[in-house]
Amino acid sequence: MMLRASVQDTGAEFELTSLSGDDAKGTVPHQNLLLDFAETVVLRDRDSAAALRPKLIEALGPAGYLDACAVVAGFHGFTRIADASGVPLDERYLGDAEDVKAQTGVREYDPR
Amino acid sequence: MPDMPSMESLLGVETVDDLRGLARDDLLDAHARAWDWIAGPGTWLTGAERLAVVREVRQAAECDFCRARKDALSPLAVEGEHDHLGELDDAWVEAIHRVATDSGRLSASWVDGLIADGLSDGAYIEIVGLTAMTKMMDAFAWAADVEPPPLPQPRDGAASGYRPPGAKKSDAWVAVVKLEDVSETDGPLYGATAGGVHQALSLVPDSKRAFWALGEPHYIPMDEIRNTDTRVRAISRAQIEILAGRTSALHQCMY
Repeated sequence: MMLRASVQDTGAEFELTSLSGDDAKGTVPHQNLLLDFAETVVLRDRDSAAALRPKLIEALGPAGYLDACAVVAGFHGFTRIADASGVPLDERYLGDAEDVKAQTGVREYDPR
Repeated sequence: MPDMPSMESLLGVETVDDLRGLARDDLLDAHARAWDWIAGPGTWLTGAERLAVVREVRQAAECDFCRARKDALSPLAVEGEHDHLGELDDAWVEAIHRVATDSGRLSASWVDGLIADGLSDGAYIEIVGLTAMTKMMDAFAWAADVEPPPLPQPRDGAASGYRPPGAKKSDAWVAVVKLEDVSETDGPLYGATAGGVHQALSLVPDSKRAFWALGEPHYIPMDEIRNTDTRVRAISRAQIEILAGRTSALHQCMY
């Protein structure tokens, strides 16, 4: 939810549809590398990770690369506590929720 | 595929501890504190039980039943039994494995079922926090291509059994403590933000505090959350949010 605001405020561009796995459309530096790396970590794709690491270190530097590792890892936790407790979205994000869902491909699952 | 360089050859590191000097100290210190916290007695679980939860979280990645459910259109359409370590009750194993492997398709009725099977809501939330912290620290080690530290030894002691007097069930699947219901006995519960995901673990205040003490160094400090141009990390806020957004989307999560 903070992506749109952070991109707009820094003068860059980024299409939220890129989060669903389509080719990234935008101007954020190294956006394709970042999207690929996040997917590689979530899917535990060892070969892809091994191929991406030297590129990420070259692009972001060791500290930037390790910060990227930290963010992806952090959202392995944030997502789980949100989804397992069923807390509703923060009120300030509700207005954007349907739009973001549609653009990112995140669907609601409710088997009740 | 040709041999790819390992992190040992790229950065000369093999373990999380070797990252000192390369990664932020606050991040590595948070990992060390989290493992130490997990090894001690909790609110509803003992130290030994909490480390058994960690082992079960890792075992879930090897569970064929979880894999079949994850691949199914609906997880409820698949019947079977978890490949588990035999240390914990069935309801605990179900909670750990589902939260670890398919958290984007959980439901209120599933949580109600666990509680009907004898898992208390407090124990459930403590298990959720432990599962999320384990996934976070293991994902960092995997992403950085280093070995996580060996698990600590459990510390003796009884679980406190503390339940916040202001906890209520309202719009979440479990009881939470809203900002206006925080009691002095809960200890510090909220800082710059008190909505949404920050309420998720509030039924177990110690778990809530420990989770966010680990989580903030992975993302950004909460007092910087509204600063869309923050420079507190070695990558930009927009780059952080691209990583966060893609990771959340793959977990089928709006956060």
